[in-house]
Amino acid sequence: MVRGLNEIMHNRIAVFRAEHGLSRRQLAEAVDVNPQTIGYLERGDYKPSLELALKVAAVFCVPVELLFSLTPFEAIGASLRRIGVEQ
Amino acid sequence: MSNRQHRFLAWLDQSVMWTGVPAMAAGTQRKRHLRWPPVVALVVASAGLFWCVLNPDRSYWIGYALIMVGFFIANLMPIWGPLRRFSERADEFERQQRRDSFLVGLATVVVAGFAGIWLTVGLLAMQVWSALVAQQELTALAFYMMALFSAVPTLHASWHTRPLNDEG
Repeated sequence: MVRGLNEIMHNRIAVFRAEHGLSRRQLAEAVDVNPQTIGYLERGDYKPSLELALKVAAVFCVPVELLFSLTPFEAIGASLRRIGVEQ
Repeated sequence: MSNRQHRFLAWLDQSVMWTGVPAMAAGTQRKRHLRWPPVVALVVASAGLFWCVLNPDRSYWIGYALIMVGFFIANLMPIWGPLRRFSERADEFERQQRRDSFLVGLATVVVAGFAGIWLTVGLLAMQVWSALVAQQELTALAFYMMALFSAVPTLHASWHTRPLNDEG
């Protein structure tokens, strides 16, 4: 299937940022952008370049596909329930 | 120097920081969404242009004054608006935003110039306007186009994204 250019890019930056206890400003300084840009990224108003996406992923030490996806991420509650069921 | 005088001078130094001028000079001032000021500038300038076109007689100055008011407001937009100047350091989002907004601004200026020049030429050819009136109208059009160039990129950038929560 060919995906459109205007497709929404979902991300979990806010979740990872909260988990690592980073403010927008701290993350922005780590990847060398304006803090407002992190805000627009988190809200999905802006699709990052591959370079920026890789930099953000590197800050959290995770693969880039854990942070960005073209399909919606599973809700954390659903993930926890699924893991609980599997265990 | 007494302690009170020292505190007063320190307060004066701080008051300079409140004006935002030092941050502006250092290029570190916060960029904010300006959604309504460019609309006001464009409405006032457009009203002035229409006045100039419809009343090219002795009351022409009213339209011209309106255009100048719009032009003045529009020229404040690049200072406080969301777009960074070309001389300022900008990240990839800001560069893309600036590129898109100026593209829209330039397209608007081109359309206004094309329409205005052909309207002037047409009315001159039909001898509705004299050469003097055409000269007046082209001057008004020039200031209107400059107002467009200053206000439209800010308008586009301000409405293209919603303000962030901590932006105030």
